Amino acid sequence: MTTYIIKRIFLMIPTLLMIALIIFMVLNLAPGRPGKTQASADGMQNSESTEARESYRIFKEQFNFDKPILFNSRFALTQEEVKQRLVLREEFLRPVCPETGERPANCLVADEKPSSADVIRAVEKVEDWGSYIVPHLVAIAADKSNSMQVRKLAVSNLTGNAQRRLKSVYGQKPTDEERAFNNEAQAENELLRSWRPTQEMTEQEFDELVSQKWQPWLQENISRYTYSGSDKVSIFFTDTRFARYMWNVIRLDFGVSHVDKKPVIETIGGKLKYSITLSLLSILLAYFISVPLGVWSAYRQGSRADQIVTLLLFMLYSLPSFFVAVVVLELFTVGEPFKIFPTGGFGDAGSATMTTLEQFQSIVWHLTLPILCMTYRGLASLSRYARTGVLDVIRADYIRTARAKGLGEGMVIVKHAVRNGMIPILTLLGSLLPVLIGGSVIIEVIFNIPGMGLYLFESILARDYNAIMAVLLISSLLTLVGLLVSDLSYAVVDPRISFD
Amino acid sequence: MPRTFQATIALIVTLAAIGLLTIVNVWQTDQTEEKLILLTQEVEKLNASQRDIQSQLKRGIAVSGHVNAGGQNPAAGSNLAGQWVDPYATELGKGGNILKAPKDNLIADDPVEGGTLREAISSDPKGFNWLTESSVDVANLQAIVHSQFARRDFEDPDSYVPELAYKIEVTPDYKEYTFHLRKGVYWQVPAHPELSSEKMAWLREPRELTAEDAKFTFDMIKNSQVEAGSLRNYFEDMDRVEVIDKYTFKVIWKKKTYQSMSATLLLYPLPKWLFTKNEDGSDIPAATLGLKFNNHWAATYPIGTGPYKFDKFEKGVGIWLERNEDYWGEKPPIEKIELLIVKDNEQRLLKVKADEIDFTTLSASQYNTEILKGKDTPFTRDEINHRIIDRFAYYYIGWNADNPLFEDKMVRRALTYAFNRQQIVDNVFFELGTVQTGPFYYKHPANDPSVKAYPFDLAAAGKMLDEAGWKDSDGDGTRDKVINGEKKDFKFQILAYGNSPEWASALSIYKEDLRKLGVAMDFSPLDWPTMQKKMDEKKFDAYTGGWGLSWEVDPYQIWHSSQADEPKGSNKAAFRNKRADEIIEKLRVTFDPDERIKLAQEFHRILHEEQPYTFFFSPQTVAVWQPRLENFQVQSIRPQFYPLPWYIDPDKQPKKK
Repeated sequence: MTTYIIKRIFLMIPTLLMIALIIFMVLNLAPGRPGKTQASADGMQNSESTEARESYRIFKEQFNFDKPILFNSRFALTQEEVKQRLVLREEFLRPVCPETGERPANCLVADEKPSSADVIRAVEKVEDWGSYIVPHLVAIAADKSNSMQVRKLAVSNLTGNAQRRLKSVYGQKPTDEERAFNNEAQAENELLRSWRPTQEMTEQEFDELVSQKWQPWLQENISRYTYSGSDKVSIFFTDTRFARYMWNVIRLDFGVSHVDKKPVIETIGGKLKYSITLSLLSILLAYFISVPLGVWSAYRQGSRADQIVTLLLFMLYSLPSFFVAVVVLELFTVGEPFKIFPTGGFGDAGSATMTTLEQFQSIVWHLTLPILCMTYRGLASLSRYARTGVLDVIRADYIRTARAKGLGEGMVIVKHAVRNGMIPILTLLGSLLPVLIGGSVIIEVIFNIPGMGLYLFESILARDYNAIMAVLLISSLLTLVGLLVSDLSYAVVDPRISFD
Repeated sequence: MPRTFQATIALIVTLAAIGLLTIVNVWQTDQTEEKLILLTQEVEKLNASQRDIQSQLKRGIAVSGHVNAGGQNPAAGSNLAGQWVDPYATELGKGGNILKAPKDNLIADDPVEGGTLREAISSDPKGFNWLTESSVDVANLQAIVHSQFARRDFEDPDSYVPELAYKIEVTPDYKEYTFHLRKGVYWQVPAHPELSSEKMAWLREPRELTAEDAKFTFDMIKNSQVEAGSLRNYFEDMDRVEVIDKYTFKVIWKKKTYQSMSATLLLYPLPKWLFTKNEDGSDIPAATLGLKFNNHWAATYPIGTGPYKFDKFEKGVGIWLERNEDYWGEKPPIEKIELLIVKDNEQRLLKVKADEIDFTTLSASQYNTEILKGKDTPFTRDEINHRIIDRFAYYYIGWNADNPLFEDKMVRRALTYAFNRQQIVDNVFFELGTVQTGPFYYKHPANDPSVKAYPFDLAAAGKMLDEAGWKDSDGDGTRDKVINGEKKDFKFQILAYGNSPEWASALSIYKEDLRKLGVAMDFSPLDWPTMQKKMDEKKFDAYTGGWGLSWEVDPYQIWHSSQADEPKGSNKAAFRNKRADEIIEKLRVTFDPDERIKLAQEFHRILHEEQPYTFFFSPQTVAVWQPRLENFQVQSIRPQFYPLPWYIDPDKQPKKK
């Protein structure tokens, strides 16, 4: 048994890794990027600003969106590749030739104008390549055969790409060493930012800027941009989004939400109490009702009562919960005709002024309707499982033996039939583990309960990768654990099964 | 068998005993807890009053000597509702002060004090630093927790009235603004229990608002590390801020621009003493100040100078505010504000019907079922009041003018003629809206009243399309035209934001009318990130959108031709017009109000002529509120639901269960 458990646990590790990889790939390849701009609450657009470039770069850097997803070969980029992107941008900035009249000197035929999709991609690319292309950019800026506009673009990109990343920015207390590094790096960053070309700059001034500021600076710091063979190997595998993410996950750091900049795990912790209470209570309630019901109807198999119960359960099963939820809300909360329960929420606000008992009452009060709505549909399937389980064993020889030896009917059913018939339904419990934290989007929305289901749903809409990853990874882990538990419970309940 | 039986009996008895004991225990604990809570409340009250006394002592205000408004000591005038007189009122309208006396009498003369306002907001705020977070809910909260240097007069939005600054002077070239701040304005002392630990004691010292705070706020906007996003656009041309003395500072702009006025005046300062510190009160190194500012710990507990202060925030549940008893201005009558986070629209309706919140707004379909068609609802029985109000926004369909289909303004105009706007507003949106003719709010002076909306007229639309060369040459029911030697059918797709049923039926009606016209239109509802991506890449024919309006007329971002060529620019319709560009640029440097209105009206006429958008309508919404909420004014500019004028009789509030 122990060896079996250990074996299973070891198997879980590669499985989880694969799951993580797949979720990660799907997420990162899905259209749409997380960004600051979202439609605001009333559906109106927020303006996308062009001045926000620098802070967007910092945002990307903070969440590693500037890194490639799986493998990083940016050290091998050529100057030509960089130049191509800059030329594309330059062409986009040139005026389109008018069809009639005088053509400006630098105009572009309308068909050759690059599409704005290409330009957006080019801007992002050059920005994302970060420090890997700093020497190329300096070279392009210094190369007088390039057009003035391209050279200026190269330098204005340099002011961003050459910036050094500060250390331990979000940690509470940077060490003295980090502090010293940050001060130095920040001073350098400020300096680099000030070496920005302006639109009015003459060619001579620009040449001076490049040859007296940028080139000497690169000479001095060229060691930062040369990579040895081992550097390249480690960059190839580790300076990527996935590697950085997994490295953090292994240290149990699920990262910070892009949306509210709070650690994801803290938020999940806060939501868990709602989801677990709700699911646990509804699962327990479902079992408490459906198991005796199933046993009872198995015992009275085929009778009128059994038929009625079956019909009722299937009617309940076919009622969608969003419909029932809305109906019970209308009936029981607004005073038409009843005003018994509150309309939603988890417990009364301002709980600090209530005693424990009052808080408990308030929670029960608030949860009655949602739990009702979550439970009733499960009754049908669970009670059918219980019924079949009992029916399977009720004609077994040992039942007849038990009756024959004069045991009371109740004892026969409860002790012999039910105990053996419940094996399948018990093992179902294991697979319910992920449901506990998964929550239910529909019930949570309708009853305004801030649980996990809603959180996952909103995170997906907001493309909040860290939050989605964390929720999915945790529920994958729970699924795996649940499967193990359910396998083990077979052996525990049924002595005929053994893993040795 | 008897052995098992005995054991069972024993078990039952034990369980019963334990159960009984538990009940007794719970009952006793409950009693003690109740007493404890009462005690804690008493102690808190004592503490609060002690704090009040202390802070008053520290500010050198006589505790016992009650001074009437207008007495010798202007700073100590009683500022209860209805009794407050601005001690700096004499400074207004004198010697170059651009601030004027307010015409909007916000707070009623004799309101009932106390009570809790309960309202619903639609989502969890992502943080309360308004500089990095620009959602609607945060903006509304900021308006009551923070104070601006000056605000727009609600009655006369073109004039500015004093808030934190009592006097603002500007040089004739509009490049240098000199601000004089009120003396004796203190930052709120946080009441949040998480901040009451010993470690946080440094937060509770009274701190006065100074020019340093103002400078810090401007500096953060300009700091390239700060994710100030769209806000930084407005400050592109700002040069620097100079502190002159503790209460005076100068904001200097590089060039004369019209929006410099509103950008500088309407800012809400942030506390420097807070945002430059770590949680334990140690300094944040200057090198990382900007980065830390983006997710500073204090963004969870906004501390401002406004009429309400932050009590607590429970994620997914709600936000609680209480009146700032040290507020510098006239105190609002309502004592507490409770903002419940309710994401679902139907939940908000239920909550207002169940009397769990005091006001909300209804969607068009809710308005229809509850009020128009409602037979016996709380709204028709007058148990809950309702009023139709304008929302400061408009909806439109934008045409991509870079697409050969929509190049010709006659085509775009024909498409407007084919859109049965009035009928749709009347029947789909249940008359909750006014047909829009241009880019300004229809009651704004910039909106030229002589511009009349194009009527719905398919015959006229057909004629225009004929003239533009779009004819059904092959008899397949769809118009076509030869463009660049290629025959092209008039066929296009509209990207529709979200999937509101109202928009879907509006577009279906439009689709049907266009079909009659020989134009094949199709629409697909999309979520925001996907739609945004398609629009950024210019892979679209047309789209539905909405713009929130601001009182300030500055069409640059949406209509200037330079923004059409900017990747990700806001001029998605690719509107390019020389005269319009001239007007837009001129509007940016013109300060004379009459001249501005003339320019803006001409701009309105050009857009009407050109139809880069088919302007749809300016939506209205239905505000519903419990009758106990009195003096329920709704402002015509943002923040529209500004709670300062409202009041509630606390005795009429429902008791909590």
